[in-house]
Amino acid sequence: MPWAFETRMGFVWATVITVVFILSIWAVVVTGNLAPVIVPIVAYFGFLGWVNRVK
Amino acid sequence: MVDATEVYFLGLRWTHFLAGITWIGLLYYFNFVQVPTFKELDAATKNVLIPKLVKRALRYFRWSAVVTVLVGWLFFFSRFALDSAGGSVNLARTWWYISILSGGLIGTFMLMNVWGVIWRNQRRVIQATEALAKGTPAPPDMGKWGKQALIASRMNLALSLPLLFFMGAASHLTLALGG
Repeated sequence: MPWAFETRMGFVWATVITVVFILSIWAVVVTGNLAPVIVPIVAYFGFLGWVNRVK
Repeated sequence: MVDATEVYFLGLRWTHFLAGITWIGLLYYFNFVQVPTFKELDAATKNVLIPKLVKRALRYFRWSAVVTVLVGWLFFFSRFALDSAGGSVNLARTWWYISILSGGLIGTFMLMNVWGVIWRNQRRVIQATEALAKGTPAPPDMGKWGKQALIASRMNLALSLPLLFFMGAASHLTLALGG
């Protein structure tokens, strides 16, 4: 049975945020600066903006 | 003699674990037990269970999330203050801080999902179900509320995996980052 829309989208957003997180950690380690942590925060607010428009 | 600082940190850790287990345990209950069970129930049974069972489970769920995250951040800042007192700490070059900050931020996103999406929508569903029992017809947005809450719940289910990884890796994975 295919996954429901809610399950698919929940997992897609969690995957996107996790991947962005791992990339930002890599950037933090390489640059020695905490600034890249802002990227997953922006991605999460993208999710909030999207989920509130789901009908 | 027991060191007061150790007791303080152990108390925070214990509270964080206890609340975290309650929170994530209920998250798994909702996703693996309640949601599939409710799909098999008729509307009349759901209308009884939503104001009773779901309302009660959500109370423990959302408040354990608050305790977990607040105590977690208190632990983080207390440890940072303690480490800084012994010399400057480079957060971006210390694996414990990088890993715990990652887990902490994911946990904070999950808390925002709990209060900003799941509870905000579920509260409306509960209120509408209670009104339905008094004869008020179900509002047209009820389907939308349930859908938005379930997306955030599924997202939290998936995010609990990297969350627990980073929390565990902070103390149980050794990465020398230099600097």
